[in-house]
Amino acid sequence: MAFLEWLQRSDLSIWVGESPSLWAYPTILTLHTVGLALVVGTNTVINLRLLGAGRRIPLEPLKTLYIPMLVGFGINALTGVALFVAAAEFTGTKPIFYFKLGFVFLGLGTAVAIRRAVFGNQEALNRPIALGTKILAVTSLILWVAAITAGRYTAYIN
Amino acid sequence: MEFFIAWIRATSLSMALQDQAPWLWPICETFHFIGLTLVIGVAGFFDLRLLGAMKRISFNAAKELMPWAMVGFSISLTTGMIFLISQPQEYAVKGAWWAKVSFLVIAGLNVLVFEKLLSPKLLTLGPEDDTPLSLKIVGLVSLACWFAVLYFGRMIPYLQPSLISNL
Repeated sequence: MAFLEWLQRSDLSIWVGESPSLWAYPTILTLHTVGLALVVGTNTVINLRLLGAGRRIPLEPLKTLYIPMLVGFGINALTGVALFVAAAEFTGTKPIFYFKLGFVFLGLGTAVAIRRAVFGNQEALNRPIALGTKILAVTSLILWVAAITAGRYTAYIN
Repeated sequence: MEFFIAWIRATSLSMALQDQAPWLWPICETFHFIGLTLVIGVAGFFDLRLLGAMKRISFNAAKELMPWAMVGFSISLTTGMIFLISQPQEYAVKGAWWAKVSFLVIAGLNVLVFEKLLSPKLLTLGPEDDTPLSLKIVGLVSLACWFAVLYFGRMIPYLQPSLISNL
């Protein structure tokens, strides 16, 4: 594809992919893992609580966790673009990579839906957790495991 | 060190793992990451509470999630041991791996200090109470250690290959 080829030849691609500097590919890849830990870690804590773990933890203060979640998302949007551009022709032609992207966007969608359903209104915070919310939490956990799995296998499957 | 690595690689367990590497390796990496997100998510949540965030959560309630951090740690430790036993030459000679292990030890000692010396202080703390400086330090050390573990773990293939190869 012409677009992938153009990306692959860009200055950003050449710097990220070919610079021997530790600040290029290795640091960007590591930051992508930091972002992963922040996004999936915070989502996991909220999901576990919604599914009944740590029942005595009040829900409302957990809203704070959306801050590190957002920071992680920001880091991974930036580093994700950089890592994709560095290997555009390699990654961009793999179906598994598009599965990963799909899982990530659906996972973010469930995070937004949970925030609206639970943290968006005071009433929901005081009520027992609705079945629909629990289904969202399970879906979210499955999607993040799927995103991590597809991400890892992007390096292995051709 | 070279002798030790050769010895591990010659064990039947290591050779069996090496034979299975093509399918075993990516699965173990995936689980290693899943374990990591549980550890950083749950322990990080507790650390933030120690640092004074989410004050409305009591420590008795917050610690109910901690078994999930242990689940994550067990997953990552098991898969990490599989990497080490299977390919010790990729880890045991590398400075980054030793740095990672050092931060794991510091994180462990930090938990020990917390459990043995400081956790009685927590029982007197209710919701809304700020944490004393000692607990804030424990929280900060823990957070810093886990991210250092992640950093040095991910950088193993890239940081200077063998800082201590002559051990």
